[in-house]
Amino acid sequence: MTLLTCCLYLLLIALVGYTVVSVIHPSSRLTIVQLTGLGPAIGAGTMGLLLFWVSLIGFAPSRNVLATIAVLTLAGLLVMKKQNRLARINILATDWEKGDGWTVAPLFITLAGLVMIGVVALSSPLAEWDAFAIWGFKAKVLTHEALHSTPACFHDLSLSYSHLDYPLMVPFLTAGAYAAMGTIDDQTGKLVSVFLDVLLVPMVYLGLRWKLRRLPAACLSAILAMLPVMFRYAGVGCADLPLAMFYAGSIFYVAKWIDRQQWPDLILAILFSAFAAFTKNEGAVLALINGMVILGFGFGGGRRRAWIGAAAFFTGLLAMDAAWFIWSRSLPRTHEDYGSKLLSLAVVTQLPRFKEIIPAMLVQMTEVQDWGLLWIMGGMLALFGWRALARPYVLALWILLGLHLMSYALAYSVTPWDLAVLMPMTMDRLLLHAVPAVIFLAGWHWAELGTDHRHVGNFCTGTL
Amino acid sequence: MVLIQVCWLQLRPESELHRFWAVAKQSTARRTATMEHNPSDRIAVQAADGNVLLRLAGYAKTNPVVENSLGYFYFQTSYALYPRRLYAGPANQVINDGRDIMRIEFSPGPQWLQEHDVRSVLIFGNDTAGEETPRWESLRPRDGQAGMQTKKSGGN
Repeated sequence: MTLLTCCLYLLLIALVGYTVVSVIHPSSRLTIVQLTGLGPAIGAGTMGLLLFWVSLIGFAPSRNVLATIAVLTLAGLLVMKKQNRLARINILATDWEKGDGWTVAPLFITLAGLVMIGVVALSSPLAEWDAFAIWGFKAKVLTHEALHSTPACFHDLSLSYSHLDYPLMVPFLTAGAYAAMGTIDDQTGKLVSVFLDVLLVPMVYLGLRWKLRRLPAACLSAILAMLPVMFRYAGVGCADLPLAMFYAGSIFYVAKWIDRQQWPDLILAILFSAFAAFTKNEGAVLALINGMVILGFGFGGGRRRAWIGAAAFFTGLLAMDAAWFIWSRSLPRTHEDYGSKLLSLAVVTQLPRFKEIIPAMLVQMTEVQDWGLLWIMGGMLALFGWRALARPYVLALWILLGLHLMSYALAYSVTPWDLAVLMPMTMDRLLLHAVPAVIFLAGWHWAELGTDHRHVGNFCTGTL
Repeated sequence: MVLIQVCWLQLRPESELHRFWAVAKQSTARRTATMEHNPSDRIAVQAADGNVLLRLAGYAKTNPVVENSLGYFYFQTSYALYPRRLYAGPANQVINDGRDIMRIEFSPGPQWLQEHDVRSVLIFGNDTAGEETPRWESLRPRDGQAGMQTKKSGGN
């Protein structure tokens, strides 16, 4: 019974996402991948933020809250159906091309990998240290108490290990599942974690299909699904893969905005950046970097629309996450407090630590046991498909990746922990956040190699 | 080629896939038995309604070797107990790891225990009784409060 109600909750999330997509892209055609990837990803982010806002008003996640959201969503869908604004399902965006039959093989590998991740995750309760100490603990708190009057737990320094100031996307989505199930069952509740984590694969496929044919896009997605680090962290109940998933959406739509300057792409870039910022503190930095790149390419183009785009990005981001930024301002910072340290002069004095950090990052990237040949392959494809660098969106993605890795190196440089202990423990997890950018770059450079290039101008960019 | 290579990585005996598969193949009964032996889950059942105090004994007060296991135990039991609390220090003392718990040496008086609805004590480390740890000790219920539902979830 708990499994059924948890599945209904995930269905509601998908429905919310479909509604939001229909609002952004009225009367558009959704492919299967958009329906099963983009829609649920937007739905998850929207649901997390909604539950947070409702909790601020004084209502902890409950069946009544979920029922209200469901009724409002259905009402919205009905109105849009009447106005003929609902997105329609289009199984294939483009015709089946020569050689596409081979796509079945990577598709099978991808599905097998994802099913295995799901089965394994659901066969045990929360066991990963961070999963119960940080994310699972907060999910329990948020299930019991609304944020209207801040729960005492958030100001109790003896719970500092749970990182009191961490964003609450994953805890709220998990609390929503507990509310739907009517009980705190963290084993079944891991379905939410599996759901969020495996969404990374269709989100990456979506970005790849923008420029790449079916077969190479499916192969790159299968590589992602079979990565040892993916198996290590998917479905365990942590926020790293959800962050990577939202980040994938944000950089894809930032690149599309830079390429085509279409408002729906900017809206989606804002949404995914806001979701990422509400998932982990790293997400706030990444959202800021996204905005800086949009602004930078606006300068370069000298187009008024691009300027307005950058202003709209920051306004939208602030509007969506303002409640979180204001509410979390009074929370006690842990001794890590990377935000304050990175904004202080201390960061300059710690720069010599880069001598230790950069080589460790490079070594980790070439760790075949963790990444296979992913990073090396990305470099090779960039080398052979160097002509792609002439395209602004590819250049933008390189800058995004560079700033992303630089921000993590800076965070390591100011950490209070012993680097020799911290880096081996966390490096693979942090580099996982950058994997969508690496795979997009691999794919978009690959597209320049020859016949694998495609360009679809309308909304339907993903397909099976 | 890269795809074949990552698939091959998952076929190695030491791969994540193999480890997970071994766990998934365990019978449900065995998994349930393992979970029942998880001290944190057992404690959550034993604690009933009240909050719990974590007290260190013997080697656990000073031996750095137990820092890691102490931290893990505190985090996991705090998670399992919630909305009841496991107190290892006052609310104004930072606890990030087992070392912090050792440093604080928390030993509150009866009034503090009463104010925080603490009804039992968990002893971590070997004590004079020489029993296995974590060892469970119930505090004597106060008049009219035995079995009272607590809504306190933290604070000072």
